[in-house]
Amino acid sequence: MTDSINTSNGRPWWKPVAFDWSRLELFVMRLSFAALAFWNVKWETRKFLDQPSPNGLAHFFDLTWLGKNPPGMMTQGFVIAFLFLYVVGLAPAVGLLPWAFYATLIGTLGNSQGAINHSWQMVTMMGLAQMFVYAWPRRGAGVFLWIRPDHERHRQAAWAALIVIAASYVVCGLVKVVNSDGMWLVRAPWLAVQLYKTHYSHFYDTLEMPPQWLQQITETLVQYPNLARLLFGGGLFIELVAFAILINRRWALIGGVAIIALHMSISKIMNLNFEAHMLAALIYLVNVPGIHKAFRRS
Amino acid sequence: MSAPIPTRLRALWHKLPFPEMSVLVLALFIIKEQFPFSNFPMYSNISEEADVVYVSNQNDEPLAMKSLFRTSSGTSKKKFNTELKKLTNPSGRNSEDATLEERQKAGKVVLDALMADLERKAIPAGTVALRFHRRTFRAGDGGVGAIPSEMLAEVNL
Repeated sequence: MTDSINTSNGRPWWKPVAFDWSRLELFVMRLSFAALAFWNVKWETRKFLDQPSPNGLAHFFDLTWLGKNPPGMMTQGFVIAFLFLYVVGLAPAVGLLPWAFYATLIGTLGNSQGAINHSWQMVTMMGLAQMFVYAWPRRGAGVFLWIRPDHERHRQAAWAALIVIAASYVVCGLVKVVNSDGMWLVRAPWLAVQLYKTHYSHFYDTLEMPPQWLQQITETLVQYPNLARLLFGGGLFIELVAFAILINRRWALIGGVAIIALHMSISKIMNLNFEAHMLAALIYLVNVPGIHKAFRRS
Repeated sequence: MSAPIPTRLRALWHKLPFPEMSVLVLALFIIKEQFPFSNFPMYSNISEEADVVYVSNQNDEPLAMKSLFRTSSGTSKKKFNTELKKLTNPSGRNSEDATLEERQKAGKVVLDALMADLERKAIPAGTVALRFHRRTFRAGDGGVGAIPSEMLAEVNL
Protein backbone atom coordinates (compact mmCIF):
# COMPACT_ATOMS: atom_id res chain seq x y z
CA MET A 1 0.00 0.00 0.00
CA THR A 2 1.94 2.83 1.34
CA ASP A 3 5.15 3.24 -0.40
CA SER A 4 3.21 2.70 -3.54
CA ILE A 5 0.58 5.12 -2.33
CA ASN A 6 3.21 7.69 -1.46
CA THR A 7 5.17 7.41 -4.64
CA SER A 8 3.40 5.89 -7.56
CA ASN A 9 -0.36 6.16 -7.50
CA GLY A 10 -0.41 9.79 -8.49
CA ARG A 11 -0.20 11.18 -4.98
CA PRO A 12 2.53 13.80 -4.80
CA TRP A 13 5.47 13.10 -2.48
CA TRP A 14 4.51 16.08 -0.33
CA LYS A 15 1.08 14.55 0.38
CA PRO A 16 2.15 11.28 1.99
CA VAL A 17 -0.10 8.84 3.84
CA ALA A 18 0.63 6.19 6.45
CA PHE A 19 3.13 3.51 5.41
CA ASP A 20 2.05 -0.11 4.81
CA TRP A 21 3.30 -1.38 8.15
CA SER A 22 2.47 -5.02 8.81
CA ARG A 23 0.77 -6.28 11.98
CA LEU A 24 4.13 -7.52 13.26
CA GLU A 25 5.84 -4.18 12.66
CA LEU A 26 3.03 -2.31 14.40
CA PHE A 27 3.10 -4.72 17.34
CA VAL A 28 6.87 -4.30 17.75
CA MET A 29 6.40 -0.52 17.55
CA ARG A 30 3.76 -0.56 20.30
CA LEU A 31 5.80 -2.89 22.49
CA SER A 32 8.98 -0.83 22.10
CA PHE A 33 7.18 2.47 22.47
CA ALA A 34 5.42 1.31 25.66
CA ALA A 35 8.83 0.52 27.19
CA LEU A 36 10.29 3.82 26.00
CA ALA A 37 7.28 5.81 27.19
CA PHE A 38 7.37 4.26 30.67
CA TRP A 39 11.14 4.79 30.96
CA ASN A 40 10.80 8.38 29.73
CA VAL A 41 8.69 9.36 32.76
CA LYS A 42 10.90 10.61 35.59
CA TRP A 43 9.08 8.81 38.38
CA GLU A 44 11.39 10.12 41.11
CA THR A 45 9.44 13.27 41.97
CA ARG A 46 10.45 13.54 45.62
CA LYS A 47 12.56 16.67 45.14
CA PHE A 48 9.80 18.60 43.37
CA LEU A 49 8.15 20.09 46.45
CA ASP A 50 7.29 23.39 44.81
CA GLN A 51 6.85 24.81 41.32
CA PRO A 52 8.79 28.11 41.36
CA SER A 53 8.54 28.68 37.59
CA PRO A 54 5.18 27.22 36.49
CA ASN A 55 5.04 25.72 33.02
CA GLY A 56 2.08 24.35 31.04
CA LEU A 57 -0.70 23.02 33.27
CA ALA A 58 1.23 24.19 36.35
CA HIS A 59 0.00 27.72 35.48
CA PHE A 60 -3.47 26.51 36.47
CA PHE A 61 -2.94 23.63 38.92
CA ASP A 62 -0.72 22.97 41.88
CA LEU A 63 1.09 19.75 40.94
CA THR A 64 3.33 19.57 43.99
CA TRP A 65 1.17 16.76 45.38
CA LEU A 66 3.22 14.57 43.01
CA GLY A 67 6.38 15.62 44.85
CA LYS A 68 4.80 15.07 48.26
CA ASN A 69 3.33 11.70 47.21
CA PRO A 70 5.72 10.26 44.61
CA PRO A 71 4.11 7.56 42.45
CA GLY A 72 5.23 4.29 44.04
CA MET A 73 5.62 0.77 42.72
CA MET A 74 1.86 0.19 42.92
CA THR A 75 1.08 3.20 40.72
CA GLN A 76 3.84 2.34 38.29
CA GLY A 77 2.58 -1.25 38.12
CA PHE A 78 -0.89 0.10 37.38
CA VAL A 79 0.51 2.21 34.51
CA ILE A 80 2.41 -0.83 33.14
CA ALA A 81 -0.74 -2.98 33.29
CA PHE A 82 -2.62 -0.42 31.23
CA LEU A 83 0.28 -0.05 28.79
CA PHE A 84 -0.02 -3.80 28.26
CA LEU A 85 -3.53 -3.16 26.88
CA TYR A 86 -2.03 -0.67 24.43
CA VAL A 87 0.63 -3.18 23.37
CA VAL A 88 -1.87 -5.97 22.65
CA GLY A 89 -4.23 -3.53 20.97
CA LEU A 90 -7.12 -3.81 23.39
CA ALA A 91 -8.77 -0.43 24.07
CA PRO A 92 -5.39 1.25 23.47
CA ALA A 93 -6.72 4.74 24.17
CA VAL A 94 -7.62 3.59 27.69
CA GLY A 95 -4.34 1.71 27.92
CA LEU A 96 -2.38 4.91 27.26
CA LEU A 97 -4.48 7.06 29.59
CA PRO A 98 -2.75 6.48 32.98
CA TRP A 99 0.66 6.83 31.35
CA ALA A 100 -0.45 10.05 29.61
CA PHE A 101 -1.70 11.39 32.94
CA TYR A 102 1.56 10.80 34.80
CA ALA A 103 3.86 11.61 31.86
CA THR A 104 2.17 14.97 31.33
CA LEU A 105 1.91 15.96 34.99
CA ILE A 106 5.36 14.78 36.08
CA GLY A 107 6.97 16.36 33.00
CA THR A 108 5.11 19.60 33.71
CA LEU A 109 6.17 19.62 37.37
CA GLY A 110 9.77 18.79 36.44
CA ASN A 111 9.83 21.61 33.92
CA SER A 112 8.34 24.01 36.48
CA GLN A 113 11.54 24.00 38.56
CA GLY A 114 13.15 26.81 36.58
CA ALA A 115 15.13 24.64 34.18
CA ILE A 116 13.43 23.30 31.06
CA ASN A 117 14.51 19.79 30.09
CA HIS A 118 13.96 19.01 26.41
CA SER A 119 14.29 15.24 26.38
CA TRP A 120 10.77 14.42 27.61
CA GLN A 121 8.44 16.38 25.30
CA MET A 122 8.70 14.49 22.02
CA VAL A 123 7.96 11.05 23.45
CA THR A 124 5.10 12.48 25.52
CA MET A 125 3.61 14.13 22.42
CA MET A 126 4.02 10.87 20.47
CA GLY A 127 2.03 8.99 23.10
CA LEU A 128 -0.65 11.68 23.32
CA ALA A 129 -0.99 11.76 19.53
CA GLN A 130 -1.50 7.98 19.42
CA MET A 131 -4.04 8.16 22.24
CA PHE A 132 -5.88 10.86 20.34
CA VAL A 133 -5.98 8.74 17.16
CA TYR A 134 -7.23 5.65 19.02
CA ALA A 135 -9.93 7.69 20.80
CA TRP A 136 -11.09 9.49 17.64
CA PRO A 137 -14.56 8.19 16.66
CA ARG A 138 -15.15 6.83 13.16
CA ARG A 139 -18.60 7.33 11.72
CA GLY A 140 -20.63 4.11 11.82
CA ALA A 141 -17.83 2.09 13.40
CA GLY A 142 -19.38 1.89 16.86
CA VAL A 143 -17.65 1.15 20.13
CA PHE A 144 -16.02 -2.04 18.83
CA LEU A 145 -13.39 -0.11 16.86
CA TRP A 146 -12.54 1.75 20.04
CA ILE A 147 -12.13 -1.48 22.02
CA ARG A 148 -10.52 -3.53 19.28
CA PRO A 149 -9.03 -1.16 16.68
CA ASP A 150 -8.53 -2.52 13.18
CA HIS A 151 -5.23 -2.62 11.33
CA GLU A 152 -5.94 0.75 9.69
CA ARG A 153 -6.41 2.44 13.08
CA HIS A 154 -3.09 1.02 14.35
CA ARG A 155 -1.44 2.28 11.16
CA GLN A 156 -2.84 5.76 11.70
CA ALA A 157 -1.64 5.77 15.32
CA ALA A 158 1.92 4.91 14.24
CA TRP A 159 1.66 7.53 11.50
CA ALA A 160 0.70 10.13 14.13
CA ALA A 161 3.88 9.25 16.05
CA LEU A 162 5.91 9.77 12.87
CA ILE A 163 4.28 13.15 12.28
CA VAL A 164 5.25 14.23 15.81
CA ILE A 165 8.88 13.21 15.21
CA ALA A 166 8.99 15.12 11.90
CA ALA A 167 7.33 18.23 13.37
CA SER A 168 9.61 18.26 16.41
CA TYR A 169 12.76 18.35 14.32
CA VAL A 170 11.44 20.78 11.71
CA VAL A 171 10.31 23.27 14.37
CA CYS A 172 13.65 22.89 16.13
CA GLY A 173 15.47 23.87 12.92
CA LEU A 174 12.97 26.61 12.12
CA VAL A 175 13.38 28.20 15.56
CA LYS A 176 17.14 28.29 15.06
CA VAL A 177 16.69 30.21 11.80
CA VAL A 178 14.04 32.59 13.20
CA ASN A 179 15.62 33.29 16.62
CA SER A 180 18.95 34.11 15.00
CA ASP A 181 17.35 36.40 12.36
CA GLY A 182 18.53 33.99 9.70
CA MET A 183 22.14 34.29 10.89
CA TRP A 184 22.45 30.88 12.58
CA LEU A 185 24.85 29.44 10.04
CA VAL A 186 26.95 32.61 10.03
CA ARG A 187 27.17 32.50 13.82
CA ALA A 188 27.64 28.73 13.99
CA PRO A 189 31.39 29.04 14.78
CA TRP A 190 30.37 30.67 18.05
CA LEU A 191 29.05 27.26 19.04
CA ALA A 192 32.69 26.49 19.81
CA VAL A 193 32.22 28.80 22.82
CA GLN A 194 29.28 26.60 23.81
CA LEU A 195 31.60 23.60 23.58
CA TYR A 196 33.98 25.30 26.01
CA LYS A 197 31.01 25.91 28.27
CA THR A 198 30.02 22.26 28.02
CA HIS A 199 33.56 21.11 28.87
CA TYR A 200 33.68 23.32 31.93
CA SER A 201 30.14 22.37 32.97
CA HIS A 202 31.35 18.78 32.95
CA PHE A 203 34.43 19.81 34.94
CA TYR A 204 32.37 21.63 37.57
CA ASP A 205 30.04 18.60 37.82
CA THR A 206 32.79 16.05 38.34
CA LEU A 207 36.14 17.93 38.67
CA GLU A 208 37.36 15.93 35.67
CA MET A 209 38.18 17.60 32.37
CA PRO A 210 36.82 15.94 29.21
CA PRO A 211 39.23 13.77 27.17
CA GLN A 212 42.05 15.44 25.27
CA TRP A 213 40.63 14.52 21.84
CA LEU A 214 37.43 16.41 22.64
CA GLN A 215 39.35 19.49 23.66
CA GLN A 216 41.34 19.15 20.43
CA ILE A 217 38.13 19.08 18.38
CA THR A 218 36.97 22.26 20.10
CA GLU A 219 40.28 23.99 19.35
CA THR A 220 40.06 22.91 15.70
CA LEU A 221 36.53 24.31 15.37
CA VAL A 222 37.68 27.59 16.90
CA GLN A 223 40.56 27.81 14.42
CA TYR A 224 38.50 26.83 11.35
CA PRO A 225 35.12 28.64 11.43
CA ASN A 226 34.02 27.23 8.08
CA LEU A 227 34.56 23.71 9.34
CA ALA A 228 32.32 24.60 12.28
CA ARG A 229 29.71 25.94 9.84
CA LEU A 230 29.88 22.73 7.82
CA LEU A 231 29.57 20.50 10.89
CA PHE A 232 26.84 22.39 12.72
CA GLY A 233 25.13 23.33 9.45
CA GLY A 234 24.79 19.60 8.74
CA GLY A 235 22.82 19.25 11.96
CA LEU A 236 20.58 22.17 11.08
CA PHE A 237 19.98 20.66 7.63
CA ILE A 238 18.88 17.34 9.13
CA GLU A 239 16.40 19.20 11.34
CA LEU A 240 14.98 21.40 8.60
CA VAL A 241 14.42 18.54 6.15
CA ALA A 242 13.04 16.13 8.76
CA PHE A 243 9.68 16.28 6.94
CA ALA A 244 11.29 13.88 4.45
CA ILE A 245 10.85 10.99 6.90
CA LEU A 246 7.15 11.06 5.95
CA ILE A 247 7.73 10.53 2.22
CA ASN A 248 8.25 6.78 2.28
CA ARG A 249 9.98 3.97 4.14
CA ARG A 250 13.33 4.61 2.52
CA TRP A 251 13.35 8.27 3.52
CA ALA A 252 12.20 7.30 7.00
CA LEU A 253 15.17 4.94 7.31
CA ILE A 254 17.64 7.53 5.97
CA GLY A 255 16.16 10.19 8.27
CA GLY A 256 16.20 7.83 11.24
CA VAL A 257 19.85 6.95 10.77
CA ALA A 258 20.71 10.65 10.28
CA ILE A 259 18.83 11.66 13.45
CA ILE A 260 20.52 8.92 15.49
CA ALA A 261 23.94 9.92 14.10
CA LEU A 262 23.19 13.58 14.89
CA HIS A 263 22.32 12.80 18.51
CA MET A 264 25.28 10.47 18.93
CA SER A 265 27.68 13.17 17.76
CA ILE A 266 25.99 15.81 19.96
CA SER A 267 26.22 13.40 22.86
CA LYS A 268 29.96 12.85 22.29
CA ILE A 269 30.91 16.45 21.59
CA MET A 270 28.49 18.44 23.76
CA ASN A 271 27.58 15.91 26.43
CA LEU A 272 23.87 16.51 25.70
CA ASN A 273 22.12 13.18 25.73
CA PHE A 274 18.83 12.59 23.96
CA GLU A 275 18.50 8.83 24.30
CA ALA A 276 14.70 8.99 24.14
CA HIS A 277 14.85 10.74 20.76
CA MET A 278 17.34 8.19 19.42
CA LEU A 279 15.17 5.31 20.60
CA ALA A 280 12.05 6.89 19.09
CA ALA A 281 13.90 7.21 15.76
CA LEU A 282 15.07 3.62 16.04
CA ILE A 283 11.56 2.32 16.74
CA TYR A 284 9.57 4.30 14.18
CA LEU A 285 12.05 5.36 11.49
CA VAL A 286 14.69 2.66 11.35
CA ASN A 287 11.92 0.18 12.18
CA VAL A 288 14.12 -2.92 12.38
CA PRO A 289 11.41 -5.54 11.57
CA GLY A 290 10.55 -3.69 8.34
CA ILE A 291 14.02 -2.51 7.36
CA HIS A 292 14.17 -4.82 4.31
CA LYS A 293 11.02 -3.18 2.91
CA ALA A 294 12.85 0.16 2.74
CA PHE A 295 15.07 -1.26 0.00
CA ARG A 296 12.38 -2.77 -2.19
CA ARG A 297 11.36 -1.15 -5.46
CA SER A 298 8.15 0.87 -5.19
CA MET B 1 -19.28 36.23 -3.35
CA SER B 2 -16.27 34.48 -1.83
CA ALA B 3 -16.45 30.85 -0.66
CA PRO B 4 -17.40 30.16 2.97
CA ILE B 5 -14.54 29.85 5.46
CA PRO B 6 -14.77 26.03 5.91
CA THR B 7 -14.52 25.57 2.13
CA ARG B 8 -11.53 27.90 1.94
CA LEU B 9 -9.87 26.11 4.85
CA ARG B 10 -10.45 22.76 3.15
CA ALA B 11 -8.93 24.10 -0.06
CA LEU B 12 -5.93 25.40 1.89
CA TRP B 13 -5.55 22.03 3.60
CA HIS B 14 -5.44 20.28 0.22
CA LYS B 15 -2.80 22.69 -1.05
CA LEU B 16 -0.61 22.52 2.07
CA PRO B 17 2.42 20.21 1.83
CA PHE B 18 2.61 17.65 4.65
CA PRO B 19 -0.58 19.23 6.08
CA GLU B 20 -0.78 17.50 9.49
CA MET B 21 2.92 18.04 10.13
CA SER B 22 2.83 21.65 8.93
CA VAL B 23 -0.06 22.47 11.27
CA LEU B 24 1.77 20.82 14.17
CA VAL B 25 4.98 22.75 13.36
CA LEU B 26 2.99 25.99 13.38
CA ALA B 27 1.28 25.07 16.66
CA LEU B 28 4.58 24.16 18.36
CA PHE B 29 6.17 27.34 17.04
CA ILE B 30 3.36 29.44 18.55
CA ILE B 31 2.86 27.55 21.83
CA LYS B 32 6.62 27.47 22.56
CA GLU B 33 7.57 25.98 25.94
CA GLN B 34 4.41 24.67 27.59
CA PHE B 35 4.89 21.02 28.50
CA PRO B 36 4.31 18.63 26.77
CA PHE B 37 4.70 21.03 23.87
CA SER B 38 7.99 22.62 22.93
CA ASN B 39 9.59 24.45 20.03
CA PHE B 40 12.93 22.92 21.09
CA PRO B 41 14.87 26.21 21.13
CA MET B 42 18.16 24.75 22.35
CA TYR B 43 21.11 26.67 20.88
CA SER B 44 18.77 28.65 18.64
CA ASN B 45 20.21 32.00 19.61
CA ILE B 46 23.94 31.55 19.60
CA SER B 47 25.93 34.23 21.31
CA GLU B 48 29.64 34.96 21.21
CA GLU B 49 29.52 34.53 24.97
CA ALA B 50 28.63 31.51 27.07
CA ASP B 51 28.70 31.20 30.81
CA VAL B 52 28.79 28.41 33.35
CA VAL B 53 28.02 28.44 37.03
CA TYR B 54 29.79 26.45 39.71
CA VAL B 55 30.18 26.10 43.44
CA SER B 56 33.47 26.43 45.29
CA ASN B 57 34.72 26.34 48.85
CA GLN B 58 35.77 29.43 50.82
CA ASN B 59 39.10 29.48 48.92
CA ASP B 60 37.37 29.55 45.51
CA GLU B 61 38.43 25.97 44.78
CA PRO B 62 35.68 24.29 42.69
CA LEU B 63 33.68 21.44 44.25
CA ALA B 64 32.02 18.61 42.29
CA MET B 65 28.37 19.71 41.98
CA LYS B 66 26.97 16.30 41.07
CA SER B 67 28.23 14.59 44.21
CA LEU B 68 27.47 17.60 46.39
CA PHE B 69 23.93 18.42 45.21
CA ARG B 70 22.95 15.56 42.84
CA THR B 71 22.35 18.20 40.20
CA SER B 72 24.46 19.58 37.40
CA SER B 73 26.08 22.88 36.63
CA GLY B 74 23.92 23.00 33.49
CA THR B 75 20.64 22.67 35.40
CA SER B 76 21.78 25.28 37.93
CA LYS B 77 22.68 27.60 35.07
CA LYS B 78 19.15 27.26 33.62
CA LYS B 79 17.69 28.08 37.04
CA PHE B 80 20.05 31.05 37.37
CA ASN B 81 18.87 32.36 33.98
CA THR B 82 15.21 31.88 34.96
CA GLU B 83 15.77 33.87 38.17
CA LEU B 84 17.62 36.55 36.25
CA LYS B 85 14.74 36.87 33.79
CA LYS B 86 12.30 37.28 36.69
CA LEU B 87 14.37 40.24 37.88
CA THR B 88 15.02 41.94 34.54
CA ASN B 89 11.98 41.21 32.37
CA PRO B 90 9.45 43.30 34.39
CA SER B 91 11.46 46.41 33.50
CA GLY B 92 11.61 45.37 29.84
CA ARG B 93 15.30 44.48 29.94
CA ASN B 94 17.07 41.40 28.65
CA SER B 95 18.66 39.14 31.28
CA GLU B 96 22.00 39.73 29.52
CA ASP B 97 21.75 43.35 30.68
CA ALA B 98 21.33 42.39 34.35
CA THR B 99 23.26 44.44 36.89
CA LEU B 100 25.75 42.88 39.31
CA GLU B 101 23.22 43.32 42.10
CA GLU B 102 20.60 41.40 40.10
CA ARG B 103 23.06 38.64 39.28
CA GLN B 104 23.90 38.40 42.98
CA LYS B 105 20.20 38.14 43.87
CA ALA B 106 19.65 35.39 41.28
CA GLY B 107 22.80 33.61 42.47
CA LYS B 108 21.57 33.71 46.07
CA VAL B 109 18.23 32.14 45.07
CA VAL B 110 19.97 29.32 43.18
CA LEU B 111 22.52 28.69 45.93
CA ASP B 112 19.72 28.55 48.55
CA ALA B 113 17.86 26.03 46.36
CA LEU B 114 21.05 23.97 46.00
CA MET B 115 21.56 24.00 49.77
CA ALA B 116 18.20 22.26 50.20
CA ASP B 117 19.64 19.28 48.31
CA LEU B 118 23.10 19.38 49.90
CA GLU B 119 24.64 15.96 50.58
CA ARG B 120 26.47 16.77 53.82
CA LYS B 121 28.51 13.56 53.63
CA ALA B 122 29.98 14.71 50.31
CA ILE B 123 31.36 17.98 51.69
CA PRO B 124 35.19 17.85 51.59
CA ALA B 125 36.94 18.20 54.95
CA GLY B 126 37.89 21.75 55.82
CA THR B 127 35.04 23.33 53.86
CA VAL B 128 33.42 26.04 55.98
CA ALA B 129 31.56 27.97 53.26
CA LEU B 130 30.13 27.43 49.80
CA ARG B 131 30.35 30.06 47.11
CA PHE B 132 28.31 30.35 43.90
CA HIS B 133 30.26 31.60 40.87
CA ARG B 134 29.61 32.50 37.25
CA ARG B 135 32.34 32.14 34.63
CA THR B 136 32.01 33.55 31.12
CA PHE B 137 33.76 32.47 27.92
CA ARG B 138 33.92 34.80 24.94
CA ALA B 139 34.82 34.21 21.28
CA GLY B 140 37.37 36.63 19.94
CA ASP B 141 39.80 36.97 17.05
CA GLY B 142 42.42 34.92 18.84
CA GLY B 143 40.05 32.11 19.83
CA VAL B 144 38.01 31.62 22.96
CA GLY B 145 38.99 33.47 26.12
CA ALA B 146 37.67 33.28 29.67
CA ILE B 147 36.63 36.30 31.71
CA PRO B 148 37.58 35.98 35.42
CA SER B 149 34.91 34.27 37.52
CA GLU B 150 32.36 36.34 39.36
CA MET B 151 31.44 35.29 42.90
CA LEU B 152 27.71 35.90 43.32
CA ALA B 153 26.63 34.33 46.59
CA GLU B 154 28.05 32.65 49.67
CA VAL B 155 26.70 30.59 52.57
CA ASN B 156 28.52 29.53 55.70
CA LEU B 157 28.20 25.89 56.68
